[in-house]
Amino acid sequence: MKSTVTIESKKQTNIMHLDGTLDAYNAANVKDKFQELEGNHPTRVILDLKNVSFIDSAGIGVIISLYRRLKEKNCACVLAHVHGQPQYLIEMLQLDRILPQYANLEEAMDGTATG
Amino acid sequence: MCALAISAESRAKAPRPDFQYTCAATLMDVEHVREALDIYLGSAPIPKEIRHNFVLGFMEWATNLVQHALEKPHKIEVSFYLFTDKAELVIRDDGSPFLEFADQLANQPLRKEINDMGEEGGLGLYLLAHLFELCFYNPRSTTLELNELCLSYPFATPLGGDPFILQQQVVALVEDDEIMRTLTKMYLEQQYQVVDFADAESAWAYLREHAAHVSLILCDVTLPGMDGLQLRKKLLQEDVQSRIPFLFLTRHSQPEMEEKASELGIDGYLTKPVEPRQLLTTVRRSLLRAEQVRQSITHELDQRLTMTLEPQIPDHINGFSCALRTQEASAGGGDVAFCFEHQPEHLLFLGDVMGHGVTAKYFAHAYAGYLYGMLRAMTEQDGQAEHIMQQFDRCLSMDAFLQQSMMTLLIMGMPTAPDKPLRIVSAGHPPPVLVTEKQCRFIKAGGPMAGLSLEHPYEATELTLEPGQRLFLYTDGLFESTSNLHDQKRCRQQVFQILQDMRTEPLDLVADTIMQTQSDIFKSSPEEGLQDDVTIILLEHNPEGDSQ
Repeated sequence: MKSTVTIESKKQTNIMHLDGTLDAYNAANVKDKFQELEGNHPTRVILDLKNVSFIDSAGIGVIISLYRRLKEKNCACVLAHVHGQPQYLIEMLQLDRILPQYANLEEAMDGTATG
Repeated sequence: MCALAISAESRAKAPRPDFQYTCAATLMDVEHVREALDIYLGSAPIPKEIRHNFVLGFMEWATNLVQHALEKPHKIEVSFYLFTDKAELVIRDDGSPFLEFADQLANQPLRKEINDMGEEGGLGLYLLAHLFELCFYNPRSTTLELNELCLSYPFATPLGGDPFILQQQVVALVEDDEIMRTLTKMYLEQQYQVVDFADAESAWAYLREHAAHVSLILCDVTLPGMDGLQLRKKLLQEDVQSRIPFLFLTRHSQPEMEEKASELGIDGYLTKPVEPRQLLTTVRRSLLRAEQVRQSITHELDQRLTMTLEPQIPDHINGFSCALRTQEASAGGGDVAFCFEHQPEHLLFLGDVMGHGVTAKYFAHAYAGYLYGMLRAMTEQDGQAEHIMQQFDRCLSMDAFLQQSMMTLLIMGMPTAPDKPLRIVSAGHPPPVLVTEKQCRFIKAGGPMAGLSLEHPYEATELTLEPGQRLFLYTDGLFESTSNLHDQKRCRQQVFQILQDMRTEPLDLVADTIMQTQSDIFKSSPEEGLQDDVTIILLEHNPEGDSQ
């Protein structure tokens, strides 16, 4: 399944809606899209994983590299709607320690309590 | 399929994989196989985490083959095997082997910290080694046509906690539409034994008799004659195994039906037409949930009841030293032992409530509690052993609750005056053993089992224990915890030998030795676990004991 990526900007926050899988097959495509995220110098980037059903190590790789680049620019990177296999993998790798997770986009926008 | 070098022993027994797929070595094809594998594993009876791990494991290794093999493979073949004790995924390829990876797996623990993770950091291989307790890699060679990576996941307990769960669980299916019934049955038979019925009446007739063997009921709501709701109601009212999970089959447009059904405490719905994967997942989930509930209740009840009714008597009774040991079986009937102080004799009761299975265990506890109260009241009225037994016999033939089971009972009067004999009255209880310097012999103290309406006059057998002599009381479980006659005989001989050889050793030591011997014999028996409670009591005359 080819993944699609759409980017939405709200104030200083960029939301990236991912759709499909985030694996070796799609990683390169998603990585290119990540460049766009940094265009308008956001202070917060939300990765919306609502429609992501599978992530592998390549997918984790691109998320980590994005997180690093954003961190250098003092931009927060958070996850929303993490569920199923992606949630399992993210928690197993303890990525939730560096990438805060939120139940939905509203909470992810202002960083209120997780769901 | 090629010859296998590793774990060939286990796969030889079931060489046909449960799932197999061969694809070209491209990322796009690998992606397709991943999806197919994920869908297949979704219907396999394995926990979700294991499913995720296998899918991820496949993805990581196949990607690695496509992207990093020096000589790229032409094809990748994936096979999944499900055994009762483990699940295994084998990925084979015809590319150049990863010799370094084989070394790494064998020699170094692969470690990874979040900070080391990058896009090229070998996270995939780390995941493989981390996700699977057993991960073997066999490079191809003259004897092995393809490279193979074997990811194995042993189950801590066999699937479902029961090694035969896959073969043995029975699903009762009630559906009047023949096509739907045949189809649903076919899906279910991948994993369960299915008994099917075209109407609720025949299902009811079957369940009344065989409910104990049925693990789950899957029933259409709309049926000719008695409908699904009525069947459920009937099962609940008559308390026919109301703990069996009950799933309804409904059509989309039946909201009021669903509302009614939810009042009857059903476990779930499946909407017709049934989708096989959802069917199997829902059935499996309901079975697992029922099993969890059952286990937690069993555990709690067992703990509470065992604590309140464990056989207990004092160490010293009227000039006699006593040692009691008891071993409770997880199922079957229950032993009771208690002692009431009375004049002119204290009374010791040893009984064995019969029953089989886990339900019998609960009942035996309830029964024992009832019995305790009743015998206590009788003792206060007339404390003579044979009178109590007579009264107990009459009660048993009239009392509806007590009639639900059978029991053997031994009552022994232990005199407060030093010159009086012990008086033993038995109702179907195994005969006590007198241990003297020369021999062990059974004491004839017999009457029929109580409650048989035989109006048998129970008589007491009198026995005076001389110094150096001992009396040994026990329940059936001591020799009959197995149906193996050879083991029973062996156990009897050894117990007698111990009683004889150790007759000057302390009572506690002898009692412990007997329990240990019994347990060793029955542990080696092919039947697993103790089938019945075992209780033993050893007595000897010891006038100084009371003042100690």
